[in-house]
Amino acid sequence: MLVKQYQGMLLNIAYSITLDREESLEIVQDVFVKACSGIKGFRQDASLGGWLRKITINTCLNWKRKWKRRFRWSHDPIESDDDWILKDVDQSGSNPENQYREKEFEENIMKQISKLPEKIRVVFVLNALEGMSYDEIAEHLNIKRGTVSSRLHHARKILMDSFKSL
Amino acid sequence: MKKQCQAYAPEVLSRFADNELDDVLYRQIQAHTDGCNQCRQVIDGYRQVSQAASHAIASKVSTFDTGGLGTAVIERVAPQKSGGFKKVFDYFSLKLYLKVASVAAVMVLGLAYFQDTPLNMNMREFSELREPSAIVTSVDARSSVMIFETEKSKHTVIWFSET
Amino acid sequence: MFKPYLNVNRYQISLWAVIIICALSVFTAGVQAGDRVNTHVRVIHAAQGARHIDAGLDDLAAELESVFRYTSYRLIQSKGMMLGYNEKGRVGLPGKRMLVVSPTSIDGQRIQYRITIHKGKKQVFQTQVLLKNRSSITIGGPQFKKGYLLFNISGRIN
Repeated sequence: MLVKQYQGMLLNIAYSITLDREESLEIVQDVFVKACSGIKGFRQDASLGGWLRKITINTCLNWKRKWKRRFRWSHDPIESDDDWILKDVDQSGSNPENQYREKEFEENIMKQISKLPEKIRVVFVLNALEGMSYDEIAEHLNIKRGTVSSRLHHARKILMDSFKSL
Repeated sequence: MKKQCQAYAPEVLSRFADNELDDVLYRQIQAHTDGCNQCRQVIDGYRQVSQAASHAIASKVSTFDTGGLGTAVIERVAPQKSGGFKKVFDYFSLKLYLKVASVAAVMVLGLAYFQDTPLNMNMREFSELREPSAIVTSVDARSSVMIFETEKSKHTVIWFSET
Repeated sequence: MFKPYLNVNRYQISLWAVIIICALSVFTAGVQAGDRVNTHVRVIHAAQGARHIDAGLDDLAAELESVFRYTSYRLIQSKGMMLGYNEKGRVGLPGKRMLVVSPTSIDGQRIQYRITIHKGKKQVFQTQVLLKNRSSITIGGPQFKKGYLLFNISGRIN
């Protein structure tokens, strides 16, 4: 039940930080295991989603960057974006052309997001995905509120500039 | 080309888009944007880029196969809940003869370790599992080389680029 | 006086004989076991595509899948060799390549191997490894048919 309810949210966070499907699945699995073993220490008055989110962010940021990860990135032509587009187009109901364009647009956004430096990307996705306030992000990442503001603006500027050049 | 309005710094507009300004400044910018198309467009652009990114990430993640996630979590959590080791040691603390038996068992196993017996081989193999399968003492390739080991059984892998 | 002295000598001689026979048998067994190294090379083609793992790779598949993202692992060659020290074992590979593997010494519970890979007349890779007895190492990198070649080399001494 816990897994089903929160896996989407946690995977969104983990994937947007790691940009790696398998790694984000491993992280989320780890988060649920940690959560199950530490559930007694969870404050009843706090939000369970917020608590899981915090564990996920910490796990992502502390995740050991092993050879494995670098290796997978450098040698993987392989998680084919074409497959992803085709898979989703197949699943879509009406107007395949529009669906295709939409997927192409999303694909471009993902590419631009993946180019953002990790520190900037983390701030941006926590704001964009989770709607976290500057104070919350600052607390989660142990940075100043002003740093959150400047990183967020920086991310938006890069993304908007890249879309203009498309 | 029309010059961009300089009334407010872009970072301030970004904070406005997130409703992260104090009330006074927020109202000032709101009043400004009623008449300034450029600043309104910048703010809309910031909001749209966040929405589009959020949508793209969620869309990508929705293609992941998460079918085995719940089962994997249950499998990993189940043994922890049984509290195997803790129960065993609780038991030991109550039964004196088990303490004696454990000392005897440790001695027998210890002796077996230093004798050449099949049991000894298994124990050595077990302790060796923590070592890498191969230690690379030298390596030379025409281009890049990576050396790593698998997490589970420390199997050594060398990857080289041929060109 | 003479008899007990003779008896002691007989005991001592028997004891020494037993010790020498035991030592010799252990020594010869060691030499027999140690002078040749059972070396096995598996050549694997790793690629993307329909999930497939050859039966001959069952012991290795989980390890490979934990670090590689390929979905198809095909065993394209398997060769066992009994190699003496510094004796070279050669395995012909696709694409005019050749793998040469040679055990050079024993270091504790590990076998020292020198491994080289040649493409045409050029040597493209060489390494020296201390391989745990009854264990294996995987070397990969050469591109082949929309995938990569991996070489799994295992060594065993008794």
